[in-house]
Amino acid sequence: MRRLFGPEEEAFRSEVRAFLADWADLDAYLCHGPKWPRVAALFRALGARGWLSLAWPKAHGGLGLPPSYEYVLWDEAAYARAARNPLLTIVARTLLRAGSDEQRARWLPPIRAGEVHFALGYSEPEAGSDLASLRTRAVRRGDRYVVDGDKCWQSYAGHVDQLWLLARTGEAGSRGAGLSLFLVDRESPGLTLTPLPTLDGDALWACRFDGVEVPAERRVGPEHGAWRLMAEALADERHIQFPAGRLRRDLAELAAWLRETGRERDPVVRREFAELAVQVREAEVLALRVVELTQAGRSAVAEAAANKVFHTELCQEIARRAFAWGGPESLVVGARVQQLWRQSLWETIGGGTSEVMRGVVARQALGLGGRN
Amino acid sequence: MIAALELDAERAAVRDAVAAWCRDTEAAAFAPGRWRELAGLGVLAVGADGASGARELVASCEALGAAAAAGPLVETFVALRLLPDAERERVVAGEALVALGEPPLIAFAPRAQVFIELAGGRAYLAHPRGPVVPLDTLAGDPWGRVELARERELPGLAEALAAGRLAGAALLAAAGRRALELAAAHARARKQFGRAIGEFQAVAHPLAAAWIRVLAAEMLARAAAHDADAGDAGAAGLCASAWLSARRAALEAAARAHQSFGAVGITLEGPLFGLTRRIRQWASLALDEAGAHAAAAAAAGLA
Repeated sequence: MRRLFGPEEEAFRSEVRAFLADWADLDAYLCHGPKWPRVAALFRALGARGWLSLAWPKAHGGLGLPPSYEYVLWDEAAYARAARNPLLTIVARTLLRAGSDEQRARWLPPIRAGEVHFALGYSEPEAGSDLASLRTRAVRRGDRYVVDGDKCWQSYAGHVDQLWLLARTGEAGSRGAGLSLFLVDRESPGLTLTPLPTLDGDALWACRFDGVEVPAERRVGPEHGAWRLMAEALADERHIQFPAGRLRRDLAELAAWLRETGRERDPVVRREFAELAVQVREAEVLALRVVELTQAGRSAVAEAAANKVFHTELCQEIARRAFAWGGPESLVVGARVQQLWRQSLWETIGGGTSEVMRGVVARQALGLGGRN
Repeated sequence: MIAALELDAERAAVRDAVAAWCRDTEAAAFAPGRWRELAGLGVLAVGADGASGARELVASCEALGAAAAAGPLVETFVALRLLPDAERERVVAGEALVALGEPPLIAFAPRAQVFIELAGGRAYLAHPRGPVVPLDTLAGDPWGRVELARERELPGLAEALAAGRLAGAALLAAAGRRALELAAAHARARKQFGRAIGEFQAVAHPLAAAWIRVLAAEMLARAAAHDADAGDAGAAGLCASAWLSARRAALEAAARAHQSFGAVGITLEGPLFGLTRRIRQWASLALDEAGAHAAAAAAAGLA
């Protein structure tokens, strides 16, 4: 399937691999939090090479390359278990589309350099899949907004510099038409972050906003205009959200483990492993289809949702099969099999549940479903 | 990036031409005259002379699969990569029909003029040792039981199997997609409890799940075809994976489509049976399943 990339992209892949060889010990893809200082160092190193702005327009300091280069980078980073694509890219895309000149001048250079990081402040205790029902309010008072409310389940919030906050600026009941986006300093008075330790050794965070003052110039895009910006940013990011490198690595580690333990000789195991291998290829081609459509400037809504469902359910399936084959050995804390199981449980929830994604596919590809 | 997962204009034209022929004829029922017409379109000849043509093969098979086209399609694509020139020319022209498989039960044996036996990972040109006992099968094709006498071994089975698996993958994926299109159209139109049944997630989500698998299978077949035409060493393994993928996807699509259609889906003259029985029959072709699994495992590090 590597034949689907051209010689320039393959040369870039080689360059990425050589770079990542120095980060082979990082092993942070499955769990960023405890290793955050070194993860941040990796992002700075990526930024120094211009690789955090591969597909940005040259006018904004990017390299102006096609989206396929971004896929190659994050696919290799996933295979190397180095790190996931950081959330800063969503912020950057939105600023490029809708930020003011001052905001771009203030934020794009440090984003490009990997010197500033963001956590998405979207979900709330009562607003998960139904994000348009969120209640955290931002009320305009003169040259600033005052934010009150509770956010929950934020990834990396305790480590990053800024929160990318989605808050209600419209009337209660205004749903998606009453939401705005803000850049909120993590050190803001009145903002309290509480870790919620998770099964994988990382943590999600609860974020309490108690009269947090946010300067008006930190609102990105028009007031009440967040919904469209979020959709557009998502479209820009679809091709790098779930690169297949993670699955290839899961499978490679599983193969090594089967060889080490002698389980590879079991014909049932071999058959089931082959079925997983076919599915990893399916996941890869689904991911590449999203890249291809994105590169062509075509909609990839259904395909991206399909890729998300397939990728995330497959990484869980790989972990479950490994448990089934490994028996008691897979229960030993520290075994990679167990880490895969613990971590992969989150994948079908974060970033849009499988149920929501199937709903997207049903609507977009088959014209089915009763809700938008 | 090479946009290989999208059919280019040339291959899309091939697919559309074959699809137009399928619409204008009763492609789903076998008839010798129609088979010769198909041969006349040049569909059987694609890649048969050893030249590249995997993408044309996939494009043609996408159209034939959506139409549940009858005839020993996969068997012919395999045979044409095994046969000596004289036999190959007759098959390419649609003048000789191929029966290929593991005896005694072989598809199209009662109508065939060319017999190829598959056994132990080898292929043999053969002829009937005695009379062929005709049998009806699920898809209505003429099958038969026959004992074969081997004439000589035919080299090149690995390459031929790769082409057969690729064709099978494209046929199955396209048929699965068509089944889902029909089921979705039904779910949008059929009302129960005062609304279209497709508005219920219990109906919509299983169809969506099947659509995802079919999409993956389609894309895998196209990627395999691209790699095959590029001469990539891993292309044969990818063809094997594509076949396994499409088999699973199409069978799931067929099952989901039947469930969505309800009672009308199980009527003999209903909208679905002609397609789903063909899916079941194509999914049962003997293309060395164990070998395909072994290839997939080996490519992932379990040799």
